[in-house]
Amino acid sequence: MNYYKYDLTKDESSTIFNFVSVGIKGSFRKVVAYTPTKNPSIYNLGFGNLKYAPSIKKYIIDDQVINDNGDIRIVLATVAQTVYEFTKTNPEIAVFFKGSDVRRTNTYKRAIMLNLEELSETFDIFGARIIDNEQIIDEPFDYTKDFDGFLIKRKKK
Amino acid sequence: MKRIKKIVKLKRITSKNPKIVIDPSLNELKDIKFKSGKPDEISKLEFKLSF
Repeated sequence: MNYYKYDLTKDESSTIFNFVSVGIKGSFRKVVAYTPTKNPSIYNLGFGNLKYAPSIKKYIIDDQVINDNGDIRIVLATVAQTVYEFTKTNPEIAVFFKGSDVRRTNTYKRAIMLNLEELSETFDIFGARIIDNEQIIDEPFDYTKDFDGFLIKRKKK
Repeated sequence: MKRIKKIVKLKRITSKNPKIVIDPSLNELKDIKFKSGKPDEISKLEFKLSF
């Protein structure tokens, strides 16, 4: 994608990525994690600030924080880069993602729409609906519709 | 003695073709939890997909 992005580090299985957002509010260590779901061919994408939680003495990903660091386009382009990387290593696995709130989910929808032509060269893209908090179904992606999340799958060559 | 606070400002470095380097220490974050708990909720749902 023809956007500026941050350099990344990743784990050996390309399921954990790390980068540093640098902007007007400072620098924040960001982590993108691909985690398995009930369906072995679907992984969930989540990302946020890496943060130490003293109460549990562990690091967590804060996916609710608003950094307002003036680099949202760079951050989203960097996260998109991890999708290319993850699906290059795991071409049979589709990626599900949703925002931690409706505003974020709509931001992701707008980002997909703005780059749909380029993304569609590599991926099949679907809207996702969560039914009765029990199951997730897919629909063709349509910018005029609201979705609960999105599914993205690398096209077969 | 006057204390001097050193402020280190990182410079934003970006590129259209970013470097991606393997860092084995990230393996330690494999089971990391999310503050929102959303991934845990998603992991309990069934996917009924057309593809």
